[in-house]
Amino acid sequence: MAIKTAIKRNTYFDSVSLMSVTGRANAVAGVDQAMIGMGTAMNKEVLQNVGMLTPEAAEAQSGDLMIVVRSASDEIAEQALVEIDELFKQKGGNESGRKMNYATIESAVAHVPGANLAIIAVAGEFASREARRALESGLHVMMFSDNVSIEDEVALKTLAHDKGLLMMGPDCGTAYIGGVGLCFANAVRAGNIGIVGASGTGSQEVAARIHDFGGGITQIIGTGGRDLNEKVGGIMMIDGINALARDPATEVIVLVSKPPAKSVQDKVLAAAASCGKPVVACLLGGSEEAVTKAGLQFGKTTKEAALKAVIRAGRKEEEINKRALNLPLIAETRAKLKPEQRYIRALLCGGTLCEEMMLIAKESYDNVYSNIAKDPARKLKDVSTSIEHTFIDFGDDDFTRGRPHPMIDPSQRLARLVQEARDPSVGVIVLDFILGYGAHEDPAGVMIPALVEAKQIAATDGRHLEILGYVLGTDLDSQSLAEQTAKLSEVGVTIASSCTNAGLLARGFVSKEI
Amino acid sequence: MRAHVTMQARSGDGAFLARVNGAAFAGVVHSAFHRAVNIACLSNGELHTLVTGDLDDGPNSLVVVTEDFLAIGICQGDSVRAGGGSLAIAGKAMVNVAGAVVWRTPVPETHCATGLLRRRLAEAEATIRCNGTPGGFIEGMADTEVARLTTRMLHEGADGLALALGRGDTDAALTHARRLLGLGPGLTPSGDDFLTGLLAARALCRRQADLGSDAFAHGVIRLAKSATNPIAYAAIAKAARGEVRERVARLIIALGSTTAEPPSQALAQVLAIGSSSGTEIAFGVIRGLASLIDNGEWDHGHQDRH
Repeated sequence: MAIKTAIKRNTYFDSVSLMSVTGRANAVAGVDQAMIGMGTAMNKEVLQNVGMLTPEAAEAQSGDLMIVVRSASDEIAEQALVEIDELFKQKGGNESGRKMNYATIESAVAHVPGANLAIIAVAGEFASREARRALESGLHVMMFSDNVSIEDEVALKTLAHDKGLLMMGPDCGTAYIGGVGLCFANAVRAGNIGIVGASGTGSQEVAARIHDFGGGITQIIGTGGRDLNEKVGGIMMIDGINALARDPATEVIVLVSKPPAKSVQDKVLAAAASCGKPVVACLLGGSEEAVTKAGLQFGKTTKEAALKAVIRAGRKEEEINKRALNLPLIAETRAKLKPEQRYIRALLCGGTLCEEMMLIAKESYDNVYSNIAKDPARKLKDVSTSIEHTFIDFGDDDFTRGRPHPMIDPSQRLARLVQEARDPSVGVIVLDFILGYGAHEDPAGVMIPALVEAKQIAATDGRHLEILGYVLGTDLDSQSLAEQTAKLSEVGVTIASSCTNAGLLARGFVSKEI
Repeated sequence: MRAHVTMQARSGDGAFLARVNGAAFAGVVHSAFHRAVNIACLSNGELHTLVTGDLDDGPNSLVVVTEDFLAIGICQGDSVRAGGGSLAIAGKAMVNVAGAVVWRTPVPETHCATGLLRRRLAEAEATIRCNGTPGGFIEGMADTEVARLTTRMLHEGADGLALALGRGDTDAALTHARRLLGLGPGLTPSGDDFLTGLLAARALCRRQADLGSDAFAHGVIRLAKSATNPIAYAAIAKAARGEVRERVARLIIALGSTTAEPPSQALAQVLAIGSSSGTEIAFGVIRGLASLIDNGEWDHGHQDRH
């Protein structure tokens, strides 16, 4: 007698399916008996007692499904396993037109031969193991998961580097590869500009501005926010630069990040300088001198980086609508605010958007506070209470630990908007609305009642409250950029054309200098 | 991009509803079926379940007005975030719980006389043997050595367990329970289903003060953690604490109390659970109640419990 085993790891079929398949498996021609059951110790004991416990079955865990077949020959047993697998596929069902689900990366690789990239979005404790499996199966990896140790990150990136693969992440929320947006990304025009970004919304913002200026994107390679940490050493940023350098469609490269550690910055800038293609480096708050010294172009803001890239990519400057800052609007709004309305309150979903707007404010004001401030003296001790100029990143752990991201669940931001509207010292409240793949279907719509309430609270107090909105999106995004901005305008929200302009407008609105 | 589907929860376990409404949690889809989705909470690993509208309430469950979770595209590994009155699954589905009826496991308000209970249990067992589904305790699904041996081991374990509980021998009872855990076909192995029914019956019908001090129940929870899969473990752990899905609680009440619902109706509802799961659970309920008669607990102190 021949005995063959198949183990489906961590695979759960409902009991009705299991019983049905068991009955049919035992009816397969030539099968003496088939056992289909969970890999528990007692089920293995049953197999042992009937002489069917194979080494593979002995290794099964209680969450694994064991399929053990005994038949007259190896060929019959093998064929029976194939037929049983087919029965499970039928039970899994394609009747609703859904895509196939695979329980393991190995299984997905076996069934989808053309696949070359895996997105890992599992709990952090399991993410490294799955990423390693993907890399060892020859797949590029985008790891959305966070809570992965920095040691694991270095090991995974080193493995990917050695294999010539991309290891995007951990905590990588944005990529755009081969015309497909992964996780959070905007729909953009195809073009000749590639982006390597250590910040998700930063990459989205630069890509959206490039699109708005008439340029187009080849790829967005995410690195994860810790890649430029000294321990990681920018492995992915450098591999990303080199990948874009090899990509014939990419003619200009944009780097987006917060300022790296000095030693890492030197390595990254050196790699960029030697890649053979023009590079614009947008290191928010970073050193212009270091960038220009390396022979690269410096983008002080996301908007400036996008503009320089588009011009470098061949678009004529005079044909670009640069979305100049609306200076008369600043004067007009200042006139509406009372002398005591001196502060900005920025309530943002995008971490890099918060960072950039905060940097712009800090150029004019010392008293800028945030939950993501690096300076301990400027870091909010109590994130529920604003101090003077306050910039809140609602996507930070302070607000997402055990809760959905504000791009999915706006409830915390809604409450805070109303809270800030009650503060008579507030002149302007800034909000971002992020469109694109993976984002809320109607981010403006869900905020409308709170926006109306905020305006009413201020009006009842006899003051004007300026609410400044920035919609990060393109005219190709499914949510309709035009409809989203129209909804906001209808309830009196002033619309900024970019993150950079939002920061500049907010700063100007509350300036009391003549 | 696939648009997410918005669904309404019709009813749900009080504790689960409270978590969705207030202090939020993050999780991941542990397993997905046409009519149920199990969600593992990232903070403690505990399973929570969404079931379609044709199923009944249960511990850690929400009954959602929908017909098929797989048709929505929900699959193993999808991220789940909940809070502020809604539960979002990987951008594919959003479940709103506003207005959902709060459910808790019904408990028997009265207890019938011992003689009546004995008669009901005998009638129910005869019905199960006649109308139950082959698979675990009832032979016939497949005439194989594996199936025959499994059935024999299940009966040996169940009989030994009942005897041990009847004489109040917790150590021996746990030895038999260990040999039932993870034994048998199905997603929730037959032995696990049996123990779920048995533990629920005992927990709901023992005196209230004893619920937290049942050494046997605590022992089974401890053993089950490593002896079976997380789905079966979740059901066992809840049953041991007196939390069990509505249909099973109704059967326990119909058998053991003086309510008006005929046990036959409640039993038919339980036998319809899963493939043979309902049959194994019903066997467990009968053995669990019988064990309370055998060890004298049924006659002791029940008349004053209201």
